[in-house]
Amino acid sequence: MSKVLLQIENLCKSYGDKTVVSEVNFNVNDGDILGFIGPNGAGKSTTINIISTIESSDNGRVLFLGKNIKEQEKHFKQSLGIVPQDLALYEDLNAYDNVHFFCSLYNLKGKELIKSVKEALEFVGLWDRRKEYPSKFSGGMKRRLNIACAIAHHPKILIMDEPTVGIDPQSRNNILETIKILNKRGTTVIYTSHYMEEVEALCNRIVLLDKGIVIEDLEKDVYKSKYEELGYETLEDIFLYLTDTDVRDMED
Amino acid sequence: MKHFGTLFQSGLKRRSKDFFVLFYNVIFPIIIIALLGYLTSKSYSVYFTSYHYYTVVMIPFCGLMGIITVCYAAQEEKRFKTAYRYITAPISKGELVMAKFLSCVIIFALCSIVALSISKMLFNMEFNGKFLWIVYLLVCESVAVTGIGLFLGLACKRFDILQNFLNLPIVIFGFLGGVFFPVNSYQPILSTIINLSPLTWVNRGIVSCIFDNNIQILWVVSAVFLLFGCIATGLTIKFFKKEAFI
Amino acid sequence: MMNWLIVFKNNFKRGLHKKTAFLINLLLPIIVVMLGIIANYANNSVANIGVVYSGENLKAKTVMQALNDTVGIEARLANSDMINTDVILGKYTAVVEFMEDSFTLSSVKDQNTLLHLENLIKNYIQNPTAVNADFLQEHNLSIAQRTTAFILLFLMITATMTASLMIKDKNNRTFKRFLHSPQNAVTYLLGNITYNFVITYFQFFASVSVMELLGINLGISYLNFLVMGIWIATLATAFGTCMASFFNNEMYSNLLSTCIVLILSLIGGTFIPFHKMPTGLQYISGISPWRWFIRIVMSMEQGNNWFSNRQSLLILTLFIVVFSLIALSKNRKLLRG
Repeated sequence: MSKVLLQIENLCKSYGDKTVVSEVNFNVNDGDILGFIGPNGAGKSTTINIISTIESSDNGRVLFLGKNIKEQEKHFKQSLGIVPQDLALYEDLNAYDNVHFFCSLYNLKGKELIKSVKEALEFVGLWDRRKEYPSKFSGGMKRRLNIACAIAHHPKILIMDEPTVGIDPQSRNNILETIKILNKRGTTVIYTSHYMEEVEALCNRIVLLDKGIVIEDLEKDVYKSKYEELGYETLEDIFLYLTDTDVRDMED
Repeated sequence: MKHFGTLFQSGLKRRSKDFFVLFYNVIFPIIIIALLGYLTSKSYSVYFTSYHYYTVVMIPFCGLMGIITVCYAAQEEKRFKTAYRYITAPISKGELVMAKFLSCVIIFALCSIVALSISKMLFNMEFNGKFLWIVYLLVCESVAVTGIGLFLGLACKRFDILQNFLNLPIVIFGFLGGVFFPVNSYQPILSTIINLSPLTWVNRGIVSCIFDNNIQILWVVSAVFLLFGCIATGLTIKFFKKEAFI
Repeated sequence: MMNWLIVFKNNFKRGLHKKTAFLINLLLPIIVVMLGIIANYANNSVANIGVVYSGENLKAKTVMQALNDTVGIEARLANSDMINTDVILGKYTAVVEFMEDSFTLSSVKDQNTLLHLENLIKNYIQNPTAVNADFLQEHNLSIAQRTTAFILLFLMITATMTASLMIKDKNNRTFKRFLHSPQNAVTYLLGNITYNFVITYFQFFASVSVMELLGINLGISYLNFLVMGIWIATLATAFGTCMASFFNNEMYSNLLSTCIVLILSLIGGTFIPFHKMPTGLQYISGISPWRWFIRIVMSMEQGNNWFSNRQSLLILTLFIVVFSLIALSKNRKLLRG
């Protein structure tokens, strides 16, 4: 049985009188590719922000290897990588300098830093384009650079917030393969996406959030068999069944 | 020119609601006139006060500063990321540019006129029946300012470098034109430099019109402004850069 | 501990992406200093008197000669069609129009000056021996005072533009990515502030050094200027950071800082010397850093060093502290983490 890396316990967060996250509980095991899914406004981004310490929760806690992340923030962040949904790149730095800068924030120096930057760029297939600027890149290349900035410091946990938005199938496939390789190398991935077929193909577990509450937390084979009996074969069907088909007008 | 009306109305609405356009072209000049007028009130006579001096020189200067605001207005669609919709719609670049041009000219001219009117009331400025001439000059200045601003914002490739330094030449022109304090020299080189500033001629035009009943300089300056504005607008349409717009 | 250096170096790299703009920005203050020097020549202490007469008016010629012989006055033939324009725009301090038996004086100067001038002309009509005309002397800012004031004005504006990098980072989400790392907002702020200070100081250093190399005597020693530059750069950096903390839009931050800087410089005595200001405004000018910089420069022109005027120095340091505290308080949410 794989060890528990992250424990999210009784997380609560409200903005004014609006409860965004309510008593969210789930674990992230070492080696997981966890699909963290939910409709718009479910509270996914808020939960991810709390995990990555950008925001603090009103109640509850997040434990990393059994210890509260607030007590070991620097150490926890050292092991964390985030691929944000919106591209976060310096347009006035080339690809190499972008990765170099963000990697250097994780206390890597000298030869180790250079080696890590090279590995990250080679991994996403941008080493040959390292001297070019993001403005010259296609959408897919920017996404790959976005990922390179997050993995260069070899994080233990990688949170990927809709990393394949707006790119072609080839680039998307490339990214998904990248994630699988990363996972095989020992990185635990928390994967958020609205593309259910991606989540279904990639993730060994899903946590489904809706209206701030975890409504399902199951291994892949378990949820497959559970809902197949009810006639829902794909993850998208399961998703719509559990969250209903009404359009969500809430902000993410 | 089917879409010109829509674009023009939209531009007019936007400019009239733009806080910075209103602040920089109406409120800011009045504040500076009042401040500088008060600062130098001891040095001027009762009949022609420091407030009168700064009314004459400051309003055209703030009008010229409008180049910066027009540049940003030209880049507005880029900032709001709506430019792509304009480019893909059946709108000609002439319609686009002319709509921006006219809406900016009208609003900036109106702002200058309002500032002038407020100064007239607040500081008891006498125009000796030449108020409409001064309005005409300010309108012509708006044409030039808008033309140049649009050219820099839409047709200039390196606007991203220019925008950091636009302030400086305008302030230098202002200084040479006597906006902060009367500037003059009989030294040939210095005299030539002072005459290079458009504001030197604008101020001479206004003052000679009101106080010496001489509209010659005003006519020439207005004509030059109109010419500049038309040429700059024509060049903008000709060299309109889609990449600068998107 | 030295992680702010990473941010500092990174900002340099980003600045060098547009090499031309970066270089122009660094060397532009040299033009500003030249402007200060030109301003002093253009706003000179010689009073120009215009003379208008027709035909062979001996009286007019005599008076004109006498005026030219007077120290601090230069008399010239004026254009009779543009008398008001010339006096209003400062071409002449006054224009004397000689008729057969009388003269009229046109000027926009204050009543006192006009009276003195009228008496002077009357004297010269009776007796054309040159006399003292001190009342016409414009005691304006010296080159060092004006240069310091101009350069402070310019650097406060450019420091805000440099500090707007932080606004850019917030908007392009790289700041958020930064916060995901083990670094904190303090590191980020420190790196940016240090970068801003170094750039601002270099701009000051370059402009003053060029003047020194060209042999232009600014009235105070090079070393004093360099020490003063530390305070100027620190104040400009604190102000720029403060302005950038208020806005999410670079344009608004730059425009508002220009507005504030212009007003503060006006009331601080950049264009009109302190002693010429109305009494009320003399009190208000205390809120402007320019007032205190000009005061120290006046002291340095008398041979003292930068640290001689402790009161002004303390007040300037207080300005730095106040701007820094405002910036810190606007960013306190970030700094608390």
